[in-house]
Amino acid sequence: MSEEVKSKKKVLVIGWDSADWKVIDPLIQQGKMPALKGLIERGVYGKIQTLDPPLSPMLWTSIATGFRADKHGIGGFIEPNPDGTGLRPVTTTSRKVKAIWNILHHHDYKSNVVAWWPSNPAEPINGVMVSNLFHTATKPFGEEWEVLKGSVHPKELTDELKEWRVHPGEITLTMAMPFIPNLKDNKELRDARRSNGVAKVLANASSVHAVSTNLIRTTEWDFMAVYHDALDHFSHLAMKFHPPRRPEIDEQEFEDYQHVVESGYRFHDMMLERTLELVDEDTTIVILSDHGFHSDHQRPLYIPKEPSGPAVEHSPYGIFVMAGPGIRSGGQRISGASVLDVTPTLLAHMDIPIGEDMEGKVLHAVFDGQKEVKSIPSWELVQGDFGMHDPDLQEDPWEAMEAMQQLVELGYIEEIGEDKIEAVEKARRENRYYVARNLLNGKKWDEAITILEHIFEESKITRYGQRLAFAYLSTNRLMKCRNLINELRELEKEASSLRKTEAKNRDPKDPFGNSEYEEPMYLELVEGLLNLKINRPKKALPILERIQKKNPYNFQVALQIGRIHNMRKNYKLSENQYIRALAIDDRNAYAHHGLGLSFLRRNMLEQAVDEFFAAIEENFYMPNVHYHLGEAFFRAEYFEESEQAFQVAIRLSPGMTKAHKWLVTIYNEKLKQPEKAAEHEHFLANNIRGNVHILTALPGSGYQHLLQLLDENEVPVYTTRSEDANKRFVSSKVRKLGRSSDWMRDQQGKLLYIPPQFLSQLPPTFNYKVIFLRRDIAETVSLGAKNETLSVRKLNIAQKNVLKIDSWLQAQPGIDLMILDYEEFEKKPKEVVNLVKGFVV
Amino acid sequence: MKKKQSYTITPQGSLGLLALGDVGVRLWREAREKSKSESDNEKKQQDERRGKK
Repeated sequence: MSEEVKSKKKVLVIGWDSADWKVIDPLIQQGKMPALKGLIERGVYGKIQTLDPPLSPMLWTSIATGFRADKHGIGGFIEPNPDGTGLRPVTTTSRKVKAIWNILHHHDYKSNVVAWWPSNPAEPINGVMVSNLFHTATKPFGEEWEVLKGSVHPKELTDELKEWRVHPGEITLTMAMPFIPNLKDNKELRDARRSNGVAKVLANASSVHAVSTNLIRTTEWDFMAVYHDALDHFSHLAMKFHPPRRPEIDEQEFEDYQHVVESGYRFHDMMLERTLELVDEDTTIVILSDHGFHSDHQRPLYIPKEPSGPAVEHSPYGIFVMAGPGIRSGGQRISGASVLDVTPTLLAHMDIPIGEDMEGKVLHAVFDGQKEVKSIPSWELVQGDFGMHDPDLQEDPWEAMEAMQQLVELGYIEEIGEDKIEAVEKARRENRYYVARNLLNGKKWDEAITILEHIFEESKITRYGQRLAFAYLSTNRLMKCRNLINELRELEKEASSLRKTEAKNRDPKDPFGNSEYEEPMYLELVEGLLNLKINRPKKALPILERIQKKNPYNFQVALQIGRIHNMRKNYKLSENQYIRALAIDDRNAYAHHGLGLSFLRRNMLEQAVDEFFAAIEENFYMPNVHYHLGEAFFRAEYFEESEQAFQVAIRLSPGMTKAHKWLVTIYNEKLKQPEKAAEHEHFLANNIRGNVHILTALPGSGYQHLLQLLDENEVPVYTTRSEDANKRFVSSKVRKLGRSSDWMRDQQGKLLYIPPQFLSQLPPTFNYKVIFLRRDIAETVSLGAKNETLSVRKLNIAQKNVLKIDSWLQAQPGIDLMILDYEEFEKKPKEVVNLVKGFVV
Repeated sequence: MKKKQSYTITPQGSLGLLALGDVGVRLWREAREKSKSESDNEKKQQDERRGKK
């Protein structure tokens, strides 16, 4: 046996879709999940953050690859058949990157993969793969139930493994009664949709477990990944009946279904107990979920009438447990895990290089001692055998579909039925929407905007437009955001009458039916945030309060209202909001920070310090929290602690002038260390001199027109005495910025035009607010041209200048930025002027 | 060493058997088949007795 083989670490990953600590914790306390409790005590545990949108195929692929959807290629639940005749469940051939089992195959590891989503058709790995479509019953009980072709690798195992499939028709009353005890005496209940659903889910879970226990026992393996969707399905079926009963819930239905979720979790613990009996002590066990599931007051009352609408019941944090050799023991909690971190962490644990292009990180906190992590630039660049399907089988189904359509248009093949094409088209758009949301979640704004602009333009579906408005807001395209909000409002008006009719027809006894959705007022939220961004908290507040009234458990809304109250010095009100936010997410650093601030401003110093520490525990890298902690300690006369906190704030944000000022005071007046005070005095004297407002734009892009209008509307603008309109706003001093910037001190509060080529010469001694006026480059150059021919040289220069602006902006941490499009300014000059006023004043 | 547990396997099965995985499913199906064949035999014998009378 080679050295490499000897040192292989054995790993078993068990996926429990939707598992949530809020359900598990009380069950563990009551002794109802002993196997999981024992595993936690042997290792580490914590929350795992999901990605948006919280859709299982996308998330489990991120878990198995370390990539987001734009890279791994799995968006939603369905994709078109390659022949274009309809849709099918998403397949492995659509995955664009290697999964962990492919990388392990390359290293000669034997892997078993059971029911992972998606894993059909099964990949030809070194080991066994049983796909997620293997165990779905397609025939009534008693009839021959064939195995789906391609769902088992190696296919020779098909006959042996198919015996372990449990048909829903096999589930007996004895098995189902722990979930629905009233089944015993109520024949009608046995035929109910939910009761049949429970039998189906239980049969599927039992099939997956029987196959996986069989493979654990009868095959040699180094890595095994088993996925259970049952908790997600039990929860969608019956979380609304999970105790405590809410007033909206029918009493009889509550009686009938209140045990479904608890029994589902307990059954998973029983399966876990058996699994742990079968594996040896050298096996590292990982149990995780892809997202959580709201089980408390945050349970939604309505399910959106849209594709993947039930995902609104998902919560942003799932579970993560890891135990075994090399893993810290003692049940310590770890924080900061994301679903993207699973593959890098497992590879690091198995001493296999991680891909530097993977979007997750190694969770060092899980390891017992220092872990040396090897890496390579990308596994995607490595050639060789990875146990993947033949490249001919790997295809982008959307491309295949488009190719089909072209052939139809050219007359090579027959027209596909209208309905099917429409269905495929809708699914294609929806998948792109999921990828765009995933990109927004990863702050890949530009790529997300490109997709959203396209699908919104194509369909005018308001959901797409709302996300696009948020993307515009997040990238400071404020005017675009404002215009889109207006357009969406018009679309909403048209849709609202339709919704009212639907609401009237809704069965009052079934508030959870697929009916009108109490829209989370995403658009309103974007509008509220837009007003906050342009310094109009007074205008933002009623919008946000309106959302909160309809949607009391929206975390973001509570956080923003709290922020407004803090800004307006209504500290008692802000305290209420932050407490509300923490009731929704008790581990949120921003909410702890805001609450601490409301205490600090009322001189409740002890409480303030507690909250700042709570924020730091969740996210250390927030300079403002350390700054406010320093302030609280100072007021409480703990000067050494105060000094330390300000020092940390400066380490995290070196240009934080306020922190330097505090340190001058502390060293001079309290700690009597004038030499240290001098360092910070020196910094202040040489560094930050004030706030300057900048407008940058390409010459010829119409910035003079904007400045003119701003000047006329009482926005302080820097002007020269020149009579020439073109020169009136351009200071000759700007050209000498590299040599002297003293004159800028006198221009504070005024809007100053800086051409792109001089941005890099702006001294780092001021805080900047920047407005970037953009215009189509070709248009800009042609306006300045003497004849109709566009000069390539001038186009290149303009292109370079735009790049200069972009790169300068990227290098400015924490800069206040507003991006304006000239086209928007031309259409609505007054609105733009008002926006700019709000921004700079 | 773990104490051996003993199970009574009924034709109706149980969640505990399902949680035992492949082994549990096999044992339960065997018990179900055995019970079915016993019941079929009993029925056959009853029919035969009725036939004699």
